[in-house]
Amino acid sequence: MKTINRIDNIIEALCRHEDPKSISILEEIGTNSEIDEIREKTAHALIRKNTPESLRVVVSCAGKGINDMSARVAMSAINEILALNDKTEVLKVLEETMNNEEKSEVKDTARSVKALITYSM
Amino acid sequence: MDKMKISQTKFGIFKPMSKTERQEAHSNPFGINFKGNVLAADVFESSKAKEINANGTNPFEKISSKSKMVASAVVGSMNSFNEAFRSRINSVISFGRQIKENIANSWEYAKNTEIKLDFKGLAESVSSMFNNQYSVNNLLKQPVDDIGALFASELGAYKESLKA
Repeated sequence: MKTINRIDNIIEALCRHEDPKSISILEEIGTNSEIDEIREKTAHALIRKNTPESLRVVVSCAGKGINDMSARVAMSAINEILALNDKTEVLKVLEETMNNEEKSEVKDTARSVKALITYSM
Repeated sequence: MDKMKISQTKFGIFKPMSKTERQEAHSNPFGINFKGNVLAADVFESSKAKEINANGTNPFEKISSKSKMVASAVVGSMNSFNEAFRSRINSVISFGRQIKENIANSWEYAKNTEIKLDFKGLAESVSSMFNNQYSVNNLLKQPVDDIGALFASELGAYKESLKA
């Protein structure tokens, strides 16, 4: 098995794991990786978890998920959010970010993504 | 006008040749024998007809000589077709019989055989075949900290592979 396939499986296992510590592992190792591909896969896993804690990482943290410096990672994360069947949690987190976040860039991104979700629903 | 029957025709094109005649016919320069059934038909265009045709007096001569050739070929191949058909139909019949016997034997065997499906064994054999530490199901059985350690080590190996 190739290394990238093993990493895919590890990320998928952490995505399915019910232990809340899996979120912090994905955040520490995955979203801080210098490789775009790994950050992208980790953001997808955190979004698919669809819990308030996992969504806060990709929505409210600067430089991660939808706020990633790489356009590819950010757009891919937004796409994954739009593909969610149940968007209630992500809408709550976006609202929370728009109201409480200090950084204007993060706030603006959250607003744009919320608008996208509203139009796509 | 009376209709002309083939049996009443004076032409000998449908009359099979005797063995000696056949042998003589074999010496034709073109070596055409239609599998031994050589007919006494003049299937080749005569030089006289050619001359007339060249003058433009008899434009249908070429067509009639061609049709003669086709007719003699058809009649000549009828006998060989009969034999081939008979041998093929016989082989089809024997094949059918064989299939019938095979089905009957298989049915008898199936009736006397007990079929048992061992799903547990099947699952074990499949999992042993694909027993992989890195499969998602196997990883899910491990504690999160162990998966995290694996993640870090695999990521390091991946970085190294990208540098190389």
